[in-house]
Amino acid sequence: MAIYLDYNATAPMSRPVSEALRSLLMENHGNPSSVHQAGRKARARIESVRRQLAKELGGQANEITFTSGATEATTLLLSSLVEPGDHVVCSAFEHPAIHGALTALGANITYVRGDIQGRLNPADFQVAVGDDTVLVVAMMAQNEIGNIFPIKEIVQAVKPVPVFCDAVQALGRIQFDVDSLGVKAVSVSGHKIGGPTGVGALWLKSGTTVKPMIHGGPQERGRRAGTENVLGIVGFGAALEQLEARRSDRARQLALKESLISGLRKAIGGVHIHGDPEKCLANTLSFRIEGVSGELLLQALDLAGFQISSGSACSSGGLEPSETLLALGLTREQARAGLRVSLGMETTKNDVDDFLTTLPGLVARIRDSSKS
Amino acid sequence: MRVVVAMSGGVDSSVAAALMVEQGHEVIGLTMKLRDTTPEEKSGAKGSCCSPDDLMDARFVCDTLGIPHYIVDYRDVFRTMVIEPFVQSYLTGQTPNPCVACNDHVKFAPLLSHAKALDADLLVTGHYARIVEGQNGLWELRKGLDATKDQSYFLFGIEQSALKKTRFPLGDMDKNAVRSKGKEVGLPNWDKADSEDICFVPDGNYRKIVEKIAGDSVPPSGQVRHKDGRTLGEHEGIHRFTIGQRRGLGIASPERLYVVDIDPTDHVVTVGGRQDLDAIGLRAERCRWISGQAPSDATRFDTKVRYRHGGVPAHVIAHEDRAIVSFDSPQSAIAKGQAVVFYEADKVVGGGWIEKATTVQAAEARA
Repeated sequence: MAIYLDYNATAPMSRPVSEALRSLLMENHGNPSSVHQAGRKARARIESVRRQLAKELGGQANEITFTSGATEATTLLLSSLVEPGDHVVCSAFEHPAIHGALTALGANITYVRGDIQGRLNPADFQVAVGDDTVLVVAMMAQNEIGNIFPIKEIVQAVKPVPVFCDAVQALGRIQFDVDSLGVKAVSVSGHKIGGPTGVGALWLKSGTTVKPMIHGGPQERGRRAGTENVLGIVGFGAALEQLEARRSDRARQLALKESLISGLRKAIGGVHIHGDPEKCLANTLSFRIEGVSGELLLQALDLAGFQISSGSACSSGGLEPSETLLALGLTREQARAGLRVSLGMETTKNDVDDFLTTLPGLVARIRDSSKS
Repeated sequence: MRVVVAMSGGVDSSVAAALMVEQGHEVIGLTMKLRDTTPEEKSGAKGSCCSPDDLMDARFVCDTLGIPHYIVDYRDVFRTMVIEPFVQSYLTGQTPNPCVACNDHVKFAPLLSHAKALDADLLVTGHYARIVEGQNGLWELRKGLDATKDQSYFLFGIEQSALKKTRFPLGDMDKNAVRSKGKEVGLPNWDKADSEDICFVPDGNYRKIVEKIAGDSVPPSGQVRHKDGRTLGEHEGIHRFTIGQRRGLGIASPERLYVVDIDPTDHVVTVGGRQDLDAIGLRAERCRWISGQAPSDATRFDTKVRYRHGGVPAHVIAHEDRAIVSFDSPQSAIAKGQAVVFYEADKVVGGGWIEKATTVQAAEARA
């Protein structure tokens, strides 16, 4: 039986979510735009998730747009606020969705780098913004190294420039409130919190017009045409129900991560841990082992029944060294050795112990194979 | 046994994997990423090896077979050891053979090391060739039984240590049998078209690739001269020619003309009649011998001077990594940069790189 240690890529669907989805699959769940009873029921279902999410984020329900995921939410937000040639300040640790959309929009991007542990200094954002800066982009929690960035301080530092915050990895791990952070917009994803893939949302503070990318019907207040993903949104709602339970698992996950770190250091020579050791997600551990290719170790671990990731899931198989690790100042060779273990609610002490028992043998064999 | 199969996404390596699964091995599929995806391939145009479609085909085949599949990134080594030497070869008037270089530097050593790292006992590929355990603990490389598909020519550089750890399950099958096997086991790509082109030159236009990579070092234009000394015209760079080429010379002539010599120093392309292509032998360098030892005495071998060559009996004097070859009958269009491979019946003895053809005149001058 495989042991899953890749929660930052996706969290396994939680039981209440799959049960909610199963019961919905068994009935005619209706089109939320229909006038009749089935339609009204579907409408009520998705509107109640909208309220639930707004409450969770600290915003208003009418400020939420459901999308196919966080990447679409990101693209929708950026294409609403950024015109070709506009100046955007962006942390060096953002998800490829940010860089990809900004590049496609023809933005003039200034990257703010962190220190060797990936810590961002709000003052650097202050320096980077100018009179013509239209937007600042900074994520709340980094998907690969787990760093938690000082969003509130960044917002203060760049005022009055609006800040867009990718909260995908933060949702369910950190308690936050869009109002007290002072951000302009936030993106979130369903499948990182035990919901289904294919659903996410954009929260955008009222007063800004969204420029739709998908045209047609009046769904989502005209911000995104097309029949709503009722199944996805209902699943997202069921996952939102459990956020408190996820957050309260933090201390347990942190203890597991600490035993993982000490176990790695004890069993294997040349282990380097990446990121901020203090302000960091409790579940995320990024490391490298000197002289061991991350891609190769990932394969050997998979064959041995352990599912982790090298770089972010989007870059593994993409075969490029992780931009995040390069932004920490690692060489390409060092970045290619990068691995990420990310824990979750279902991870047990046994899983971590088994991982620590198996890893040294695989590492020794890989080191040995590269000698011959 | 745990084995890794090098899978291109084509039918041959897919069937090789299926056969290993059928034999009860624990099979792991590996696909080498050798180069970046071209914009044409991203738009869905038919690519060659390593296009996104091929990677997905390999992954889909592995899923059908119920085996794991991983991608290994060999772009750097492929660029430095295969593509760049290929370009360099054309820039110096030679006719390269990138498939041999790829087997020498990319396929076997790195994949065998990868296999070892994954605790696999053997590397399996879909080559049409056979590996046989011979006498004295030595391993032999033999031709594939399907003469039209035999790929032993490309494999002469393989070492004993690699032969010992490698298997070619298609070596005693013909292509039709491979396709029927693929169909029988339900492989989704059993009727996929064969790829005959060089994998990084999918449209067959190698000049375009050479010019793109060479950039400023593309050879200048030069003269086209007849063997009798007359200047016949101009050409746009020696990299556009190979020995034996007849088309695209840009010369109107009553007689059929062929490229018989390419001079990289003064950029002259010499043309002549068909008889001027004939050589009675060649000199080879950087020879490798399957047994690890050069044949001690002057010997007679069946000799192939390019992949699609039928082979000619020849007298071969080998010394360490050099060989002097005299053909029993003259052979046409011997090109520097191609490989010469020596056979004893269907057994590969070794091979090397053609350094120089021995023409009739050269032999007469010596005599």
